[in-house]
Amino acid sequence: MELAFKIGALAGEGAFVAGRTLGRIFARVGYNVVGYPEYPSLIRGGHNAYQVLISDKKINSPREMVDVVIAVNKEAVLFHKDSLNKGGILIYDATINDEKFNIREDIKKVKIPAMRIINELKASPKMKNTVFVASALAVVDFDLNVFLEMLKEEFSRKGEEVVRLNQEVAKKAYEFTKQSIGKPLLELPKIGEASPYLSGNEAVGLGAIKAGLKVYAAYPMTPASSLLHFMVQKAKKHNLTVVQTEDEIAAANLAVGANFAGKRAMAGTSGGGFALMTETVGMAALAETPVVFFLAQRTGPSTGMPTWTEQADLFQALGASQGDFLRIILAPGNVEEAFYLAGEALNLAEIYQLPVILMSDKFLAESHFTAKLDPNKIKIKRGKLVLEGLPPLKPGEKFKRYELTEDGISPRTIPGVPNGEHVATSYEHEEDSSTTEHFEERAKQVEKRWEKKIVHIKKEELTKPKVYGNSKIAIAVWGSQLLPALDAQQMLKEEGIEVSILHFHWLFPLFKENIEPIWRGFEKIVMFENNSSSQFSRLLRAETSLFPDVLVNKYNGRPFFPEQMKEVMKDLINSNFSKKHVKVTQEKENYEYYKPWRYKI
Amino acid sequence: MAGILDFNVPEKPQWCPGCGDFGILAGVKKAFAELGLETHNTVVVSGIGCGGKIPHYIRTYGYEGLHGRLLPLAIGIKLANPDLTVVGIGGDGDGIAEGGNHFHHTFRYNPDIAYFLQDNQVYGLTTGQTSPTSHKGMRTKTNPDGVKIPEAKPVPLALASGATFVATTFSGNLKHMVEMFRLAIQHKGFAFVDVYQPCVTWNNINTYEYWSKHGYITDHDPTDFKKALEKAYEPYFTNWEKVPLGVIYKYERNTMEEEIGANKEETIRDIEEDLKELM
Ligand SMILES: Cc1ncc(C[n+]2csc(CCOP(=O)(O)OP(=O)(O)O)c2C)c(N)n1
Ligand code: SF4
Ligand SMILES: [Mg+2]
Repeated sequence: MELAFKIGALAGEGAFVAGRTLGRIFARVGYNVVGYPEYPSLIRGGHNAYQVLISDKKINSPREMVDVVIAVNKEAVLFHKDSLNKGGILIYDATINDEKFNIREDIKKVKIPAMRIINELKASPKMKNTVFVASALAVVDFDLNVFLEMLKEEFSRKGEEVVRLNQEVAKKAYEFTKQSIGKPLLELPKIGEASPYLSGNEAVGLGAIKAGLKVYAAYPMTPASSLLHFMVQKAKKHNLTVVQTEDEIAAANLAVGANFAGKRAMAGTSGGGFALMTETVGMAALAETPVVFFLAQRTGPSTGMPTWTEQADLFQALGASQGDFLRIILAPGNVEEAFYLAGEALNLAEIYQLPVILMSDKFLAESHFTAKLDPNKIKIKRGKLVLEGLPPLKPGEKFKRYELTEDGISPRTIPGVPNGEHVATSYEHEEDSSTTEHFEERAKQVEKRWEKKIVHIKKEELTKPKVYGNSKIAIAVWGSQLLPALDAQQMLKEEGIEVSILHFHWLFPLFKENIEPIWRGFEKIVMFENNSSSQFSRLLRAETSLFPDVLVNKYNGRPFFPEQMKEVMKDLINSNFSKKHVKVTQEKENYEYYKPWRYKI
Repeated sequence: MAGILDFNVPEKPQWCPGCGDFGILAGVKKAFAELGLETHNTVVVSGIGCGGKIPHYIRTYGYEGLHGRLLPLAIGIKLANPDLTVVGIGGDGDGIAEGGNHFHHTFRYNPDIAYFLQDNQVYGLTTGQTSPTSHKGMRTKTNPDGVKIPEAKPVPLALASGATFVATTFSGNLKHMVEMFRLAIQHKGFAFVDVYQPCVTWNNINTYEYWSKHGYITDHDPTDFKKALEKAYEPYFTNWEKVPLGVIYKYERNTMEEEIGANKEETIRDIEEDLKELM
């Protein structure tokens, strides 16, 4: 089974809280859940929506169409009524006048008197969310006690009375809905144990904490901000130093400084802020100070569409800072990978003593997913870090921080350790860290930082793309677009069409030897990129001379929906791959509502 | 405990003969030795400029970072290990132009870091362009007819930004400078010392003679904010006739490390409970 809810409300009316609560309720009794928020860059006045998709099987990505719409305000009715599948249910506030709305005949309407229920119980208007969540649960004949228990946990610090009132409101709304729909849409029993329901950003945060992160520095910017908020919440318990700096340049430098002094540190931002961090990326590379940059992409260029998604900052990450230097770029495909790769990013930075850029995007960063995470799989590896027992130095001598070694990686030590005195420097330097403009020394250091290290990086298992399935036709994706790809694969299977997925979570450096054998195993490869210029395909061609058979791009601010991937693949297969390029720009949903100022209803 | 010789390196500083940076280097090493700092527990952080090369000439830990960014870099080091003595040293272009945003915010944060501004009123390393602290009328590469725009005011700016320690000194007066450096390092909080430093190559106005003539040792009460403001503005009101040297202002409040929690503890806690909270 599979069921999708969508909650729509005026910005500030709590669609996200209600949506996340609904998601957690189902996650608690064993369902797989995907929660997907959409909102404009406004605090009040715009429209917010949150889709909750549930299934007893593994699901990964929101759907184009839903089964239940919960409309908190009248705009939500107008905007989402046509996103309902046939026979879907539309729950909306009884005070909404729906005469002019042309609601389809097949849709079942539930008009819930939210304010009347609240007023009758002398409850607070803030409990409107409770009404709608309870009502949604009634539609699927769900055990209300799970929600009642959750209300207790959530509100007990506000006192027994608040808990009781919320519970009463929930019960009333639940009963009312049950009566008004007659037969429930589905019956959803408990099917298993609870699993965490978390966002891509929360997964990055927890993975990093487990891997020993101690300092997080950031300047607020959607969609990285929620990681900053999460780290603030976790700061006390995990002894994190979380700093909201005066700008991104400061955040980047602060993170480098902390790493230099021996604490694992990360700086997080989105593309605009990363532009400001750029110079520091190069400094970390030249000084060989390990550091991780978290880059959560949004729709650019410039301010773009701040609350929407895109995968168009790959070249920015790749080209950040002047000069030739090695960096590692990772892009997790789901929350599990976000969790493990956050830990791995910190390891790689320290092992290879270079900057690592961990790329996410609004879609993965802010959507929620149920996931099974195993913290014990995260192991801390600090490479050639020496914390004691350094041999005495001669008077005036400095530690050979940039010693030329066979593998290009020099022993590293940190302030506080005797006999490790040296200068980490943004200038070219000799082995003992003194500045140099000696041509041979310069050449040696360049080779050390790139050629020598890369030989060892190539051996990392992580550098290989992952394959899901064994068809000769592949959907290729990188980063978050694994999510719709996995669901598209399943949808195609249900229609008797087998496809594989080729997923890249390691974006740079790319190794032909590690990719080609896998790549050549496919007859046709269709690359779906959530950008307009196929940045990854172009990078792949430059680095490996491999290039997909078909490019598919979507760049309207939304991620691919699995249905869209499915349709594209069917068309391509039916036409024997006659197209080389497909653009996906249309949506089924009436997305006019993201211009609220155009509407008078 | 290290003696002054322990801070020496064999490398010869690459500065013009007579450059004020030699005095600053000597002063820093002397202050370190007098305070009994240990070479491995001390970090000198710099930016880019002539003066920015200083970490290479002192045998401690060092970070020679980016032009204008030494303060956040130093803060990162201090927050990661508050037991270290962290001293930032950089030029006027570095600190007041490129790093201006960090400059005033760092006073608010008040990390326990000392910061010495190598204030030569010019861009030395890039061959003599106008600096924010170039005096009005000075002829520079970028203002051959004389600087028209009034100079930035680091000391008043520091006071307006919430500084807890501000001092001025002159690199030609080793004794005074060492005392200011010592007091700054000892101060609990962000301690800023504006060091007037002759650049013998690009600045023929603000010379050793100039500072000897106009500088005077102030003995006002540095805890009196009104008095401090008066002293801070004195050079500007007197058109640099009278330049007070000494501790301009001093008071104590909590440091950034105390306020936001510096990172002392190494333990990594389990996240099982955090995962449960998400259920
Ligand atoms: C981002 C950046 N911009 C410009 C430069 C070039 N640059 C190096 S030092 C400097 C100014 C130096 O002046 P100051 O900071 O006063 O130091 P001084 O040389 O006078 O000691 C400039 C503009 C640079 N290194 N980085
Ligand atoms: S140019 Fe000026 S500041 Fe630079 S070394 Fe020479 S005298 Fe010193
Ligand atoms: Mg200067």
